[in-house]
Amino acid sequence: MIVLTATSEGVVTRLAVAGRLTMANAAELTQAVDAAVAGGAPKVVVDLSGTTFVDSSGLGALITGLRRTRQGGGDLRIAAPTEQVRAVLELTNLDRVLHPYASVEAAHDGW
Amino acid sequence: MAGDYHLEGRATLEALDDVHALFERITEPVASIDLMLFETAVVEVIGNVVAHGQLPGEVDYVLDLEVADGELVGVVRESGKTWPVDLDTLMPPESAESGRGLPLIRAVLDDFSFAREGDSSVWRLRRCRTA
Repeated sequence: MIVLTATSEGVVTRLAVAGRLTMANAAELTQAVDAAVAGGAPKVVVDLSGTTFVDSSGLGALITGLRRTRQGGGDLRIAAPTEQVRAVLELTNLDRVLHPYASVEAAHDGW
Repeated sequence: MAGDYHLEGRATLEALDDVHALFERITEPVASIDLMLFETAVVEVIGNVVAHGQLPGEVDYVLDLEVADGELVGVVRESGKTWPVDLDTLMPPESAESGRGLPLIRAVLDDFSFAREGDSSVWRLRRCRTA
């Protein structure tokens, strides 16, 4: 299961994903991103520091979120991925489009 | 050191939690990178069965894991009806929002196969240990 927490940080929405991001709950992340975009805050930082595991469905939700935030005039950045998440991002080449920022603070850079 | 682990049940979303719990029980001194990526492959296979097994919600699975000298071996037997499985599907482009499951499994394993054996589908996974 995941615990997903949305926090408004100025013009940025921080989504902290605690737990395992898998096919069981990937839709929750998509819904949270959609809510941020609909709420007029399409710049999203996904805090992965507490995300212990991600599967291909979780990756798909991150890509969907990236597309939807950009369509809404914003962007999606990921921060502090754990070891398994970082490995899976590299194996699927997604680190090319989802550059892993070292921290949530670093992911705010320029926003 | 070697060890055998067994799990069986109905292929529903809850099965994914059961797989993670099984990996948490592994006590052999396997390198974390190997356990982590093998777990990733097993979860993707079980996830495939949950998502595509026929009939949905009515497929049973049996998972056997072996922590052997030099390798991690897994066999998933499931009762689903045949469905098309293309193990050679390529990693999709970065913009794709789906289709990474099977390529990801292949990327973390040294051997991966799928076959019908009688009334069951059998997935075989093997990863060489780095330590």
